[in-house]
Amino acid sequence: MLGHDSIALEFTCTTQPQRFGSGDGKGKLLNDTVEFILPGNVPTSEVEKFFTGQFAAARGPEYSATLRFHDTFDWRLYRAGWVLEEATRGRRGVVGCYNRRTGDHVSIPVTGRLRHLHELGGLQEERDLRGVVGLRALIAQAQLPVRVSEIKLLNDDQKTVVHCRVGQYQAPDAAEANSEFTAIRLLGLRGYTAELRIAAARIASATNTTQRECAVLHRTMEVLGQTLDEHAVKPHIRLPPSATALQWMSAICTRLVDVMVSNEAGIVQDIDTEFLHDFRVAVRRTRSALGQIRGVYKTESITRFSSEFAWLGQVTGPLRDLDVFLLHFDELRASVPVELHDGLQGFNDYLRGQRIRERRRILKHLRGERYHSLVEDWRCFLAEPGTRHRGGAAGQTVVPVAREHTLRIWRRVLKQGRCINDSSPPQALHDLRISCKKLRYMLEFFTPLQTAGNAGHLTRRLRRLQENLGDFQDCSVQIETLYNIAHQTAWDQPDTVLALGALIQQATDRGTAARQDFHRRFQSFDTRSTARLFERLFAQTQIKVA
Amino acid sequence: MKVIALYSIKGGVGKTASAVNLAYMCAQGGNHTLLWDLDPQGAASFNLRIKAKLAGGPKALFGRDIMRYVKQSDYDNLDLLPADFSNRKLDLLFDARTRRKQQVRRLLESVADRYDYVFIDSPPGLTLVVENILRAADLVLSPLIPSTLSLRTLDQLTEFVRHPKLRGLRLWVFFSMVDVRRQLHREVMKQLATQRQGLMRHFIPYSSDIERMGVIRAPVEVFARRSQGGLAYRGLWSEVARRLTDHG
Repeated sequence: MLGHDSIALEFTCTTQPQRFGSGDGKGKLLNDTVEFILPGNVPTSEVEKFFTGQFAAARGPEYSATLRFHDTFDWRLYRAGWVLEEATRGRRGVVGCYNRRTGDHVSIPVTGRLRHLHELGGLQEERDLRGVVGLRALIAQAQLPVRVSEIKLLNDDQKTVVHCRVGQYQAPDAAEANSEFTAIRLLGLRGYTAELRIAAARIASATNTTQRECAVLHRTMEVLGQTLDEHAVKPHIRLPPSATALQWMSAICTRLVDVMVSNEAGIVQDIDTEFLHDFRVAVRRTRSALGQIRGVYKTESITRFSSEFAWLGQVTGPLRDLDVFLLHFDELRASVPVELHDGLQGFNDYLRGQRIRERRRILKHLRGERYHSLVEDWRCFLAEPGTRHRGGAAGQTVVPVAREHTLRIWRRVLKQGRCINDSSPPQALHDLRISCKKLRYMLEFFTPLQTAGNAGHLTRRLRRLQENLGDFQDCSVQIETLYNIAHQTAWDQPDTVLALGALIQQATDRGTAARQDFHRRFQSFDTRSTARLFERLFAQTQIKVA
Repeated sequence: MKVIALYSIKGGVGKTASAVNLAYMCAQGGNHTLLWDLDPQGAASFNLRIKAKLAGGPKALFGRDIMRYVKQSDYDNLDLLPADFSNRKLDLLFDARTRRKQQVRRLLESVADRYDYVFIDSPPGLTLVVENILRAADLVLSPLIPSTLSLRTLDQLTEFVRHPKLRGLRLWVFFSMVDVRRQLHREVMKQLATQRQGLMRHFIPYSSDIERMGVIRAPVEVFARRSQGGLAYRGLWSEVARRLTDHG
């Protein structure tokens, strides 16, 4: 066998990314990456025998590595059809980026551990993944040591037509008897789909197994006793419509407290800013559920929880505000004249300093007795609310309760919005924004009970209005914050104050534009067709239009 | 996407070896590279161990995504659109279509976002296929054996690319199959260097390693990295890449 050039899966000589698959994802009978899982440790020589008589096999290098599957905390990449895996040996590594939907696979050599997407070297995949990941950080969701052997399957011309990677895995602390497994991954080459299909059929018939999408990822998760948990912030309630309002409320709030707790570690480790954001959203939703779905619990029974969740929202607010400033800092910088960019550096330093202080404060709260007893007591309350805590609506079926409260807030939104005119104070828009938020949460809490399609339409329409109100509110908050910061801090450079002044001006202009756009946005929400969608939202009974 | 055609009116001057080796080196530099073997003999396909066959013949290329026919080579970033023996009838196929001289360009448009460079191994002669290739190319790299007859050929080619429809097309010439022991080769090279602008500084020697490409079926650098031929192609590609950067 002559000295073929490197293939990207080999650590020994890889220097360039290499793509497998046709790259178009169209009209293919088989994905370009095929995976099989075999129990136990299957020697590479045995795997070679599967292809005897069909392909010649050329053995590549063997090496030990650590395989890590990277994703965001909430598995965004996987849910969007991507699997991002990294095999490292020492400081060298190969990142495999696999698109489940098109079947395409690209292997990218990296130096050191993968931490940021920009290490993928500006490939199209980096841009695609960045769009999915957003502000979230990548974390190693699962990892296993692996012994890898590479085999090239060759045709009559001694041309490689399929790459075969044999991985022998075992969990490090193998308590489970079946933790040892062998994964065979076939990577198709562009233009050699038929050969890939034949190789896959050979393995299937020799081992009596079937190929499985993302088999290595799923088996790794099984061996590690982990699940592909989707930490969705939105509560997905799986109860029948005949459930009582109490059952429904308990399910919503339990899910929300789970979300809060699942985000704690991310806040403590400061993995990314979105853990705190999701935590706060869960707190806000809980407060909204307690405040809006009235009559399920007695008011006096939940007074303490309401005020404690309000406290939690309050103490986490300043850090979130700082995060928002820092996340959008590049945009803020771009919005002021170049001459003031240096001045903004002082502001950036200030924000970072404040963030460290605020983080310390929040960590103290999250580790404190007050927060822990809130979570514990709230869980106990939700698990078994005593008869004395149940309100008049607790035993009712959920549908009328959901309808009553959703429509009540919808009417409030209409009333508040219709009262707003050019001379209304900013507070009026702020109040409407809060009501819209509550309405959105109600739509989300009761989605399974709603007429399919209606909820989606309503959410989209409501979102457009919320965007406008959110922009206005953000600008108002920004102006106030910037003003306070400019006045309360002694700045080394006068340019910093000038830059803050420019930012205030920018925020004022944006706020004015949002305010001018409000009526158009509200009018496109306050329509007869929106009313009809609300009327039919629960499809149980006709209701009177507001 | 830059389209580079390896072309000479004469046959047997080292077009195919140059196309394979330069495309390989281009791909090694991290560029997504496609080598299109348009010579019906299919030697470039053979050298990359890929069968010179298009399912459905060259006619099938029209109206379909040409990626369906692209084969991934054994080398990073290098793909091949194989030859087909029926490519000898391409002239007739092109002639039967509207915009008959823009067929290669139109076919390449569908892969413009996938590749950084496309190398075309052209057939010799002055045919409709060649006109198509020249219309699609940004650069023609023309190998030249340093002999009197080759000089005549170069004059013909230079004249041909002056056609107004080929405005913007660059013609870069490099010496190929040079035997430095032969006085005639040395004299012609010396003479031409003073008479012609734009000759490539690097030349490709007559080398048994390059000839062995057809036996081993791989780019010369893969099996004889430090050979005279391998180093010559490496030098030539560096010069081409640098010139391309300089010329934008």
